[in-house]
Amino acid sequence: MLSARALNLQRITASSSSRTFATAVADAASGVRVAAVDFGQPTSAVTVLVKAGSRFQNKEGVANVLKNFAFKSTAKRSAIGTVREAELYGGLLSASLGREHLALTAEFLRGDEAFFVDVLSSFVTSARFTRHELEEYVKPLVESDAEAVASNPATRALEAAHALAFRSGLGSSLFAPAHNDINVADIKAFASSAFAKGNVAVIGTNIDSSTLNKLVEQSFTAATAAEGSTAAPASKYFGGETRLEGSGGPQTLFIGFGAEGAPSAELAALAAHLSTQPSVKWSKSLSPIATAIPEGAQVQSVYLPYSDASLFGLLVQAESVGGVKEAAKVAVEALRNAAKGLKEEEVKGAVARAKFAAASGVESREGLVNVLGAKIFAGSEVSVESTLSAFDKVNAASFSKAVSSLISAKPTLVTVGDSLNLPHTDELGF
Amino acid sequence: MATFATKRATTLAPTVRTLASGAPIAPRLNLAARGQASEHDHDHGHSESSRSDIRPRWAGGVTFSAAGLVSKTVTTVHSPAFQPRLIHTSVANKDAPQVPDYSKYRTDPGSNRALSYFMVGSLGVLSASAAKSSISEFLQTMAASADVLALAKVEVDLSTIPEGKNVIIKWRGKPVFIRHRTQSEVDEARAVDWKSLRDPQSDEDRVQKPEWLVMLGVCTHLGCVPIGEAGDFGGWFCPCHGSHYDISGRARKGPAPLNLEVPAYEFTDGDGKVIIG
Ligand code: FES
Repeated sequence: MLSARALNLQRITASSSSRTFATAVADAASGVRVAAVDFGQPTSAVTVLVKAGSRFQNKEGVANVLKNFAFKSTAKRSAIGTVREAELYGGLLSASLGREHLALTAEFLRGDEAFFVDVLSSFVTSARFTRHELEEYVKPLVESDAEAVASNPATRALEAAHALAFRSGLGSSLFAPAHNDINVADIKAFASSAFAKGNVAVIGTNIDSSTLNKLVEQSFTAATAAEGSTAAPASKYFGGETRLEGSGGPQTLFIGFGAEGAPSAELAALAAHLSTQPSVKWSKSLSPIATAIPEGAQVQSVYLPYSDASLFGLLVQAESVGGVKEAAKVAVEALRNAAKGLKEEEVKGAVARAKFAAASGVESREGLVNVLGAKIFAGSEVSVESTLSAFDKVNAASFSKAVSSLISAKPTLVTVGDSLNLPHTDELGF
Repeated sequence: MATFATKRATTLAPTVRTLASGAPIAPRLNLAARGQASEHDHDHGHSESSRSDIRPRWAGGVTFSAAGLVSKTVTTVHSPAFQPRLIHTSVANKDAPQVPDYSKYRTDPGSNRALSYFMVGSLGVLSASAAKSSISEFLQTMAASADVLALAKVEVDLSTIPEGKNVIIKWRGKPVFIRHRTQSEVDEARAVDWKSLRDPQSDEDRVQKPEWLVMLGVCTHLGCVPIGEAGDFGGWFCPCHGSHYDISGRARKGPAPLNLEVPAYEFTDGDGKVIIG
């Protein structure tokens, strides 16, 4: 009985995994790319991925406003109508904005896909972008986003680090400036360029591929969306130093480096190597940093890969300036040691952790959408295996080469808090 | 949803509920407020979502992962725990068509009908008597007052008037002649062939008692006061235009067209007085 059940489970996993990785991207008749995966779970999700991340915005903050405009009134239904109907179907609607993509997601019970695909497509094709909604609903949300970031030193440091590292493009902020003059015309202009057919991909999970294809064809062919797609200029890494006033919260320091080109498995392995996140709870991780930093200080390894560049760094936080100084020294030391070369088994362990993190990230919906989305727009093979197989090529030599070339660039340093006393770039030995 | 641009912060659609712990996800609530960073703050080992001043993860927020920094906004959510507030401090909002309940102000109409009738009746009587008295009071103000009434009648003591003498008294602003006639004067008055006179009238018609002649002392011509015991006929003479009246007061000569007028008068019994009027 037990073994039979186990066997059954095995078969299901096997079949579903094979389906996952066999998913083809269909260039639907509508011109919109579609990918679907069915894990056999009870709830479905459809994400409309649009190349409308903040790197594509032509005016500071427009992408954030467009994100907060999601699911407001369209030619088909009003904002409150969308919310009420979604609630009647028991579905969840959300919008996420990254530097590359704007993701409009609907999660719902199996069988309700017709309605939710319609909700998503009607926003993409016929959003009305009214002035009163901008003033009354969207602006408060935009302000709330900006305020939440202003009060979080870690996010502030990362935003400032992006701006230093990439200046324009990837450097432009996810959030709108506190005092902006974004109006409805700006939003409409940005939306009409962003919602071009070549910029839109639809990714479904736990939904039948042909069903989704048919729905997308129905709802997106009527779209007035233009052909073509947006291209951003290739990212270039600059680096530099900035010191921000802290407004409460821990003393924060971010030291990072950018790498141009497609994200590499070596840097993911480096992040895993330095990560202080313990694998066993109530313990310290095997990271060389975790054991050496003073009590109360935190060091997070940050690896943010984008389509044509990535930002790697260490985020150091502590209550006192002294704690930050000490922890930053330890962290930089660990980074230098990694550049000098690690033992083969250390690299193996780091690669395994990175590979596991990448593989388990795909299990969550956001992670899957992220991985598939990047590949859909890059036009490369849509499978998770290709992502994982890149880790197999990492060895100690390639690892130390990648790290030393990374840290030979000009560092990006951001401090948030006590600007007078937090360390400068040269004090950290760069 | 009447929200305005001046609003400080909102997070989600108005249909979103609150956490059981009270972490509210409602418009006008600033969920971006910072929590304190020390270990003495509100967060006594609880998870982040139980903090009332931190936006719970299911409501969106900023994350950084393999996808980079991502800012998420949730439009519809199923919040993890929803506890209806069964007590609230705001007044229930009633729609316009709802009418207040007046039933506790209403009384049973049958219970005090007798009292109602009694009240109606007694108030009717009271108001009728009030109306009656006020009307009669008003009418009494139109009646002549006592002094006016006193002037309207004149009482004359005849015993003070000797035989063959005239007395002139004032009655209602006019002179009244009273003459105590002698027997010869009575005879003379009655001997006249009165039918041939200008205003034929017998002496018997003009007096109640033969010896007492009572007349208004106003000339019937144009209203002068004639002079007594004068004129061609031994009676009265009006000096204005020369009218002559005899001893019975009849016009005999001159322009006067009528006899002197006799007012209403009566003699009181026993005490020898005459009341004119
Ligand atoms: S008034 Fe007496 S006669 Fe003319």
